[in-house]
Amino acid sequence: MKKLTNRALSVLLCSFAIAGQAIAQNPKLSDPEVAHAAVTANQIDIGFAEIAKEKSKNADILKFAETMTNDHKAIIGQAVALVTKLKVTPLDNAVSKQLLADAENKKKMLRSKSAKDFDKAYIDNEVSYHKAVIAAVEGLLIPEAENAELKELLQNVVPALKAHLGHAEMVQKMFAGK
Amino acid sequence: MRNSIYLLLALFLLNGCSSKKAETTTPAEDYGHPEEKAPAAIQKNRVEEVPLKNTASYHTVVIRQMKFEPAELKLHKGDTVLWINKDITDHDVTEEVAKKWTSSKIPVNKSWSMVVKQSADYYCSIHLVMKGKLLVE
Repeated sequence: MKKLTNRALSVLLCSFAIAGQAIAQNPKLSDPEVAHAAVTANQIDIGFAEIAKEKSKNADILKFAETMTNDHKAIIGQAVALVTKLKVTPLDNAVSKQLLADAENKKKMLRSKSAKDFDKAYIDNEVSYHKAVIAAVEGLLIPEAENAELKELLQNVVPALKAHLGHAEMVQKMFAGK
Repeated sequence: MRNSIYLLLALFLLNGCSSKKAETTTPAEDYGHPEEKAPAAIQKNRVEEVPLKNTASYHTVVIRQMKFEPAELKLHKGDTVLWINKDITDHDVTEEVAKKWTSSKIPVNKSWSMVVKQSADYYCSIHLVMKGKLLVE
Protein backbone atom coordinates (compact mmCIF):
# COMPACT_ATOMS: atom_id res chain seq x y z
CA MET A 1 0.00 0.00 0.00
CA LYS A 2 2.97 2.24 0.69
CA LYS A 3 3.86 2.09 -2.98
CA LEU A 4 0.51 3.51 -3.95
CA THR A 5 1.29 7.10 -4.79
CA ASN A 6 -1.24 9.86 -4.32
CA ARG A 7 -1.61 10.10 -8.06
CA ALA A 8 -2.32 6.42 -8.44
CA LEU A 9 -4.71 6.59 -5.53
CA SER A 10 -6.60 9.47 -7.07
CA VAL A 11 -6.78 7.62 -10.38
CA LEU A 12 -8.00 4.58 -8.53
CA LEU A 13 -10.68 6.52 -6.72
CA CYS A 14 -11.76 8.51 -9.78
CA SER A 15 -11.96 5.50 -12.02
CA PHE A 16 -13.95 3.60 -9.51
CA ALA A 17 -15.96 6.65 -8.52
CA ILE A 18 -19.06 4.59 -7.95
CA ALA A 19 -17.22 1.43 -7.07
CA GLY A 20 -15.33 3.81 -4.82
CA GLN A 21 -18.06 3.15 -2.35
CA ALA A 22 -17.00 -0.46 -2.20
CA ILE A 23 -13.30 0.49 -2.07
CA ALA A 24 -13.88 3.09 0.63
CA GLN A 25 -15.49 0.38 2.67
CA ASN A 26 -12.38 -1.72 2.11
CA PRO A 27 -14.12 -4.67 0.53
CA LYS A 28 -12.96 -8.02 1.68
CA LEU A 29 -12.56 -9.92 -1.56
CA SER A 30 -12.19 -13.68 -1.45
CA ASP A 31 -9.75 -15.30 -3.89
CA PRO A 32 -12.62 -16.47 -6.18
CA GLU A 33 -13.76 -12.82 -6.26
CA VAL A 34 -10.25 -11.49 -6.93
CA ALA A 35 -9.91 -13.99 -9.80
CA HIS A 36 -13.30 -12.94 -11.20
CA ALA A 37 -12.42 -9.24 -11.06
CA ALA A 38 -9.05 -9.90 -12.75
CA VAL A 39 -10.61 -11.89 -15.59
CA THR A 40 -13.38 -9.28 -15.99
CA ALA A 41 -10.88 -6.43 -16.23
CA ASN A 42 -9.06 -8.28 -19.03
CA GLN A 43 -12.27 -9.15 -20.88
CA ILE A 44 -13.32 -5.50 -20.82
CA ASP A 45 -10.19 -4.40 -22.67
CA ILE A 46 -10.73 -7.14 -25.26
CA GLY A 47 -14.22 -5.62 -25.71
CA PHE A 48 -12.75 -2.15 -26.28
CA ALA A 49 -10.32 -3.63 -28.83
CA GLU A 50 -13.20 -5.28 -30.71
CA ILE A 51 -14.86 -1.89 -31.16
CA ALA A 52 -11.56 -0.44 -32.40
CA LYS A 53 -11.24 -3.24 -34.96
CA GLU A 54 -14.74 -2.45 -36.20
CA LYS A 55 -14.39 1.32 -36.33
CA SER A 56 -10.75 2.32 -36.89
CA LYS A 57 -8.75 2.39 -40.08
CA ASN A 58 -5.58 3.70 -38.44
CA ALA A 59 -2.68 1.21 -38.56
CA ASP A 60 -1.26 2.22 -35.15
CA ILE A 61 -4.66 1.92 -33.47
CA LEU A 62 -5.39 -1.42 -35.12
CA LYS A 63 -1.99 -2.79 -34.14
CA PHE A 64 -2.45 -1.66 -30.56
CA ALA A 65 -5.93 -3.20 -30.47
CA GLU A 66 -4.53 -6.49 -31.79
CA THR A 67 -1.87 -6.50 -29.06
CA MET A 68 -4.56 -5.83 -26.43
CA THR A 69 -6.69 -8.71 -27.73
CA ASN A 70 -3.80 -11.18 -27.77
CA ASP A 71 -2.17 -10.13 -24.48
CA HIS A 72 -5.37 -9.94 -22.45
CA LYS A 73 -6.45 -13.33 -23.86
CA ALA A 74 -3.06 -14.74 -22.78
CA ILE A 75 -3.48 -13.28 -19.29
CA ILE A 76 -7.00 -14.74 -19.02
CA GLY A 77 -5.54 -18.08 -20.15
CA GLN A 78 -3.02 -17.92 -17.29
CA ALA A 79 -5.75 -17.04 -14.80
CA VAL A 80 -8.02 -19.85 -16.01
CA ALA A 81 -5.13 -22.35 -15.84
CA LEU A 82 -4.40 -21.26 -12.27
CA VAL A 83 -7.99 -21.35 -10.94
CA THR A 84 -8.44 -24.74 -12.62
CA LYS A 85 -5.33 -26.00 -10.89
CA LEU A 86 -6.43 -24.50 -7.56
CA LYS A 87 -9.99 -25.84 -8.10
CA VAL A 88 -11.36 -22.34 -7.53
CA THR A 89 -14.50 -21.10 -9.30
CA PRO A 90 -14.35 -17.34 -9.98
CA LEU A 91 -17.17 -15.57 -8.16
CA ASP A 92 -19.02 -12.46 -9.36
CA ASN A 93 -18.82 -9.54 -6.94
CA ALA A 94 -19.40 -5.79 -6.54
CA VAL A 95 -16.02 -4.81 -8.03
CA SER A 96 -16.58 -6.93 -11.17
CA LYS A 97 -20.11 -5.58 -11.53
CA GLN A 98 -18.91 -2.00 -11.28
CA LEU A 99 -16.08 -2.59 -13.76
CA LEU A 100 -18.62 -3.98 -16.24
CA ALA A 101 -21.10 -1.14 -15.67
CA ASP A 102 -18.38 1.47 -16.25
CA ALA A 103 -17.19 -0.41 -19.33
CA GLU A 104 -20.68 -0.47 -20.83
CA ASN A 105 -20.82 3.33 -20.56
CA LYS A 106 -17.39 3.64 -22.17
CA LYS A 107 -18.39 1.27 -24.98
CA LYS A 108 -21.51 3.33 -25.67
CA MET A 109 -19.37 6.46 -25.79
CA LEU A 110 -16.88 4.80 -28.20
CA ARG A 111 -19.61 3.44 -30.46
CA SER A 112 -21.20 6.90 -30.66
CA LYS A 113 -18.00 8.51 -32.00
CA SER A 114 -17.65 9.42 -35.65
CA ALA A 115 -14.88 7.75 -37.62
CA LYS A 116 -12.97 11.01 -37.37
CA ASP A 117 -13.11 11.21 -33.59
CA PHE A 118 -12.98 7.54 -32.73
CA ASP A 119 -9.21 6.90 -32.73
CA LYS A 120 -8.41 9.62 -30.21
CA ALA A 121 -11.35 8.63 -28.00
CA TYR A 122 -10.26 4.98 -28.07
CA ILE A 123 -6.62 5.61 -27.21
CA ASP A 124 -7.51 8.19 -24.53
CA ASN A 125 -9.76 5.57 -22.96
CA GLU A 126 -6.99 2.94 -23.19
CA VAL A 127 -4.61 5.25 -21.31
CA SER A 128 -7.12 5.97 -18.55
CA TYR A 129 -8.37 2.39 -18.38
CA HIS A 130 -4.87 0.93 -18.00
CA LYS A 131 -4.03 3.50 -15.31
CA ALA A 132 -7.18 2.50 -13.45
CA VAL A 133 -6.56 -1.23 -13.82
CA ILE A 134 -2.90 -0.93 -12.71
CA ALA A 135 -4.07 1.01 -9.66
CA ALA A 136 -6.78 -1.56 -8.93
CA VAL A 137 -4.47 -4.56 -9.36
CA GLU A 138 -1.70 -3.02 -7.22
CA GLY A 139 -3.94 -1.30 -4.70
CA LEU A 140 -6.78 -3.77 -4.32
CA LEU A 141 -6.46 -7.18 -6.01
CA ILE A 142 -2.85 -8.00 -5.01
CA PRO A 143 -3.37 -6.98 -1.35
CA GLU A 144 -6.66 -8.90 -1.25
CA ALA A 145 -5.32 -12.10 -2.83
CA GLU A 146 -4.49 -14.69 -0.21
CA ASN A 147 -3.25 -17.60 -2.29
CA ALA A 148 0.44 -17.09 -3.06
CA GLU A 149 0.15 -18.29 -6.66
CA LEU A 150 -2.80 -16.00 -7.35
CA LYS A 151 -0.87 -13.09 -5.83
CA GLU A 152 2.18 -13.98 -7.95
CA LEU A 153 0.11 -14.17 -11.13
CA LEU A 154 -1.32 -10.70 -10.46
CA GLN A 155 2.17 -9.36 -9.77
CA ASN A 156 3.39 -10.88 -13.05
CA VAL A 157 0.59 -9.16 -14.94
CA VAL A 158 1.54 -5.65 -13.76
CA PRO A 159 4.58 -5.26 -16.10
CA ALA A 160 2.36 -6.16 -19.07
CA LEU A 161 -0.24 -3.60 -18.01
CA LYS A 162 2.47 -0.96 -17.60
CA ALA A 163 3.92 -1.79 -21.04
CA HIS A 164 0.41 -1.42 -22.49
CA LEU A 165 0.06 1.95 -20.78
CA GLY A 166 3.42 3.12 -22.18
CA HIS A 167 2.44 1.90 -25.64
CA ALA A 168 -0.97 3.60 -25.40
CA GLU A 169 0.67 6.87 -24.35
CA MET A 170 3.01 6.67 -27.38
CA VAL A 171 0.02 6.24 -29.70
CA GLN A 172 -1.89 8.95 -27.80
CA LYS A 173 0.88 11.45 -28.60
CA MET A 174 0.27 10.87 -32.32
CA PHE A 175 -3.29 12.04 -31.84
CA ALA A 176 -2.51 14.94 -29.51
CA GLY A 177 -4.20 18.12 -30.68
CA LYS A 178 -6.36 16.30 -33.19
CA MET B 1 16.55 -53.77 -9.24
CA ARG B 2 19.88 -52.43 -10.48
CA ASN B 3 18.67 -52.73 -14.09
CA SER B 4 15.58 -50.69 -13.40
CA ILE B 5 17.66 -47.95 -11.80
CA TYR B 6 19.88 -47.81 -14.91
CA LEU B 7 16.77 -47.72 -17.06
CA LEU B 8 15.37 -44.81 -15.06
CA LEU B 9 18.70 -43.02 -15.24
CA ALA B 10 18.86 -43.55 -19.00
CA LEU B 11 15.31 -42.25 -19.45
CA PHE B 12 16.10 -39.26 -17.29
CA LEU B 13 19.18 -38.42 -19.36
CA LEU B 14 17.33 -38.90 -22.64
CA ASN B 15 14.56 -36.69 -21.44
CA GLY B 16 17.05 -34.07 -20.32
CA CYS B 17 18.73 -34.03 -23.73
CA SER B 18 15.55 -33.87 -25.75
CA SER B 19 14.01 -31.04 -23.73
CA LYS B 20 17.21 -29.04 -23.92
CA LYS B 21 17.29 -29.47 -27.68
CA ALA B 22 13.70 -28.30 -27.99
CA GLU B 23 14.34 -25.12 -26.09
CA THR B 24 17.51 -24.04 -27.78
CA THR B 25 16.74 -24.80 -31.41
CA THR B 26 13.00 -24.50 -31.80
CA PRO B 27 12.43 -21.83 -34.43
CA ALA B 28 9.96 -19.08 -33.64
CA GLU B 29 7.91 -20.08 -36.65
CA ASP B 30 7.00 -23.36 -35.02
CA TYR B 31 3.99 -22.17 -33.11
CA GLY B 32 0.99 -23.56 -34.91
CA HIS B 33 -0.27 -25.28 -31.76
CA PRO B 34 -2.29 -22.86 -29.66
CA GLU B 35 -3.09 -25.61 -27.18
CA GLU B 36 0.58 -25.56 -26.18
CA LYS B 37 -0.01 -22.16 -24.62
CA ALA B 38 -2.64 -23.31 -22.12
CA PRO B 39 -0.33 -24.72 -19.46
CA ALA B 40 2.12 -21.86 -19.95
CA ALA B 41 2.77 -21.49 -16.23
CA ILE B 42 3.83 -25.11 -16.05
CA GLN B 43 5.96 -24.86 -19.17
CA LYS B 44 7.54 -21.71 -17.83
CA ASN B 45 8.78 -23.55 -14.78
CA ARG B 46 10.17 -26.29 -16.97
CA VAL B 47 12.07 -23.85 -19.15
CA GLU B 48 13.56 -22.04 -16.20
CA GLU B 49 15.17 -25.24 -14.98
CA VAL B 50 17.40 -25.28 -18.06
CA PRO B 51 20.64 -23.38 -17.39
CA LEU B 52 21.57 -20.81 -20.00
CA LYS B 53 24.49 -22.16 -22.00
CA ASN B 54 26.27 -18.89 -22.69
CA THR B 55 29.79 -19.00 -24.08
CA ALA B 56 32.19 -16.41 -25.50
CA SER B 57 30.34 -16.50 -28.83
CA TYR B 58 26.86 -17.60 -27.76
CA HIS B 59 24.62 -15.27 -25.79
CA THR B 60 21.14 -15.64 -24.40
CA VAL B 61 18.68 -12.78 -23.95
CA VAL B 62 15.75 -13.69 -21.73
CA ILE B 63 12.45 -11.95 -22.39
CA ARG B 64 10.66 -11.64 -19.08
CA GLN B 65 8.16 -9.19 -17.55
CA MET B 66 8.16 -7.04 -20.68
CA LYS B 67 11.95 -6.62 -20.69
CA PHE B 68 14.94 -7.91 -22.60
CA GLU B 69 17.53 -9.21 -20.11
CA PRO B 70 20.22 -8.03 -20.64
CA ALA B 71 18.87 -5.02 -22.50
CA GLU B 72 22.38 -4.18 -23.75
CA LEU B 73 24.60 -6.94 -25.02
CA LYS B 74 28.24 -6.47 -26.00
CA LEU B 75 29.41 -9.11 -28.46
CA HIS B 76 31.59 -9.83 -31.48
CA LYS B 77 30.68 -10.01 -35.13
CA GLY B 78 29.55 -13.54 -35.95
CA ASP B 79 28.35 -14.34 -32.41
CA THR B 80 24.99 -16.04 -32.00
CA VAL B 81 22.26 -14.55 -29.84
CA LEU B 82 19.31 -16.62 -28.65
CA TRP B 83 16.21 -14.80 -27.43
CA ILE B 84 13.98 -16.94 -25.24
CA ASN B 85 10.46 -15.83 -24.33
CA LYS B 86 9.77 -16.59 -20.68
CA ASP B 87 7.05 -13.98 -20.42
CA ILE B 88 3.28 -14.44 -20.28
CA THR B 89 2.60 -12.97 -23.75
CA ASP B 90 3.98 -13.34 -27.27
CA HIS B 91 6.85 -11.08 -28.28
CA ASP B 92 9.13 -10.44 -31.23
CA VAL B 93 12.63 -9.10 -31.81
CA THR B 94 12.81 -6.53 -34.61
CA GLU B 95 15.56 -4.19 -35.78
CA GLU B 96 14.17 -0.78 -34.85
CA VAL B 97 15.58 1.83 -37.23
CA ALA B 98 14.96 0.30 -40.66
CA LYS B 99 13.23 -3.01 -39.77
CA LYS B 100 16.22 -4.80 -41.33
CA TRP B 101 15.43 -8.06 -39.59
CA THR B 102 12.75 -9.58 -37.40
CA SER B 103 12.16 -12.82 -35.55
CA SER B 104 8.43 -12.66 -36.31
CA LYS B 105 6.27 -13.72 -33.37
CA ILE B 106 8.05 -15.66 -30.60
CA PRO B 107 5.33 -17.42 -28.61
CA VAL B 108 5.59 -18.05 -24.87
CA ASN B 109 8.35 -20.54 -24.08
CA LYS B 110 9.73 -20.50 -27.62
CA SER B 111 13.00 -19.04 -28.75
CA TRP B 112 14.73 -17.58 -31.79
CA SER B 113 18.38 -17.16 -32.61
CA MET B 114 20.39 -15.04 -35.00
CA VAL B 115 24.02 -14.61 -36.01
CA VAL B 116 24.87 -10.96 -35.39
CA LYS B 117 26.64 -9.09 -38.18
CA GLN B 118 26.48 -5.53 -36.85
CA SER B 119 25.36 -3.40 -33.93
CA ALA B 120 21.64 -2.77 -33.76
CA ASP B 121 18.90 -1.12 -31.76
CA TYR B 122 16.02 -3.53 -31.59
CA TYR B 123 12.55 -3.57 -30.07
CA CYS B 124 9.43 -5.68 -29.75
CA SER B 125 7.11 -4.49 -32.50
CA ILE B 126 4.15 -5.90 -30.52
CA HIS B 127 5.07 -3.87 -27.42
CA LEU B 128 6.74 -0.67 -28.59
CA VAL B 129 8.17 0.21 -25.18
CA MET B 130 10.39 -2.91 -25.06
CA LYS B 131 13.85 -2.05 -26.37
CA GLY B 132 17.27 -3.68 -26.56
CA LYS B 133 20.74 -3.06 -28.02
CA LEU B 134 23.36 -5.25 -29.65
CA LEU B 135 26.80 -3.66 -29.48
CA VAL B 136 29.39 -5.27 -31.75
CA GLU B 137 32.88 -4.55 -30.40
